[in-house]
Amino acid sequence: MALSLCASIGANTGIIDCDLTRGNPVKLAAGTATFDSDDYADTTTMDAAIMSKLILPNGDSQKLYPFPVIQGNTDQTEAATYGNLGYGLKVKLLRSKPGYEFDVLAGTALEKKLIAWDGQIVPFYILDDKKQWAGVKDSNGIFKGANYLVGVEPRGYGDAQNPKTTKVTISIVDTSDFTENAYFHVTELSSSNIVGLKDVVLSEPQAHAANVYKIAMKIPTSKLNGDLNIFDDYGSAIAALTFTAGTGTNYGTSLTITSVAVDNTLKCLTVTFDSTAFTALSVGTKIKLTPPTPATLDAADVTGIEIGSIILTKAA
Amino acid sequence: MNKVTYEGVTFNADWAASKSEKEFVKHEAHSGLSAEQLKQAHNLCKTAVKAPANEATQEPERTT
Repeated sequence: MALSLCASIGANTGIIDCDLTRGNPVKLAAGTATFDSDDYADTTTMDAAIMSKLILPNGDSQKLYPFPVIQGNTDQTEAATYGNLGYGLKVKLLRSKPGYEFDVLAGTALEKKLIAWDGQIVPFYILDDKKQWAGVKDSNGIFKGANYLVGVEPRGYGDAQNPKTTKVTISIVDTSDFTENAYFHVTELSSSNIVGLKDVVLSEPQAHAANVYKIAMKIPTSKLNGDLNIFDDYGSAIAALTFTAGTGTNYGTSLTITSVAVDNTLKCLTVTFDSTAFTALSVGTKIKLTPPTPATLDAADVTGIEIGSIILTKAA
Repeated sequence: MNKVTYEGVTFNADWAASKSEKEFVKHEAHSGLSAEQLKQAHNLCKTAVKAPANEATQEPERTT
């Protein structure tokens, strides 16, 4: 018969040889991506699952958004608090709350993307220099990111004295996610594998001629007139993939694309719609042109980009 | 969707095969390809559409 509750507290405290210990963080990956026991059954399967979630389209709840490589870390953990009883007994009042300020290198274009996370509570996976991919596991065995409150501070002008970087701060929401719920996938991936996609924006460089539209593909930058045309690198490869188009409610009525060609003069694509179907559309009809997905692009060796859809208008 | 890429132009082979050669050449005349090239592309599209249909209807090889 037990005479105290101590036998019910915690678990055995035997030391596990080569137990995992946290290293220095090298990469954050934000997003609500989750992994089940089938995903983390072995290293190869889990690594493939991670990679697949990097090339999901924007809007997919399983997508992962990697941040730039971490160049420095300032521990901003809120220390535990203690109180003393009258005779000197020190009592712990509150557990410490892990928080960190990371230095990352980001240009002004990327900062526009990172600042969107500022002030948000975001699930994060953290990759460290021991190749440990940290997250949490819930009661259903689902491995997911731990929730952190995020802050993003853009890089300021230099002062010729101190190096300047973009600052990303994270503060854990639930301290139990740092210990009791914490789990790690030991990965074969390196930080150079875990990179985000660049957004490519479609536009019309000139007015359409009946059912024939010119479609440019550019990566926006913060330099005026400095958007990057991906045509020379990927024009032919992308033209060989499948685009789709639709009109009507939720653009659910298919509009047949008869051909996609490269225009080497304008450095863009020529997209042709079925002329009979196009003629039947009234002037002002909106047409949604949907490009190949990031996964389809990646399979065709068009890597590192996501092309957004474009809403075209039948002008005449 | 069946596709055929010919001389840098990717054609919707299913749509192309549903059109006569004359209709196809007229519709895609702006592509920069010559009429002869477009006729060749049309043939390739028709072949591409027929090939999967033939694979589906062929009987499996008998072995004894």
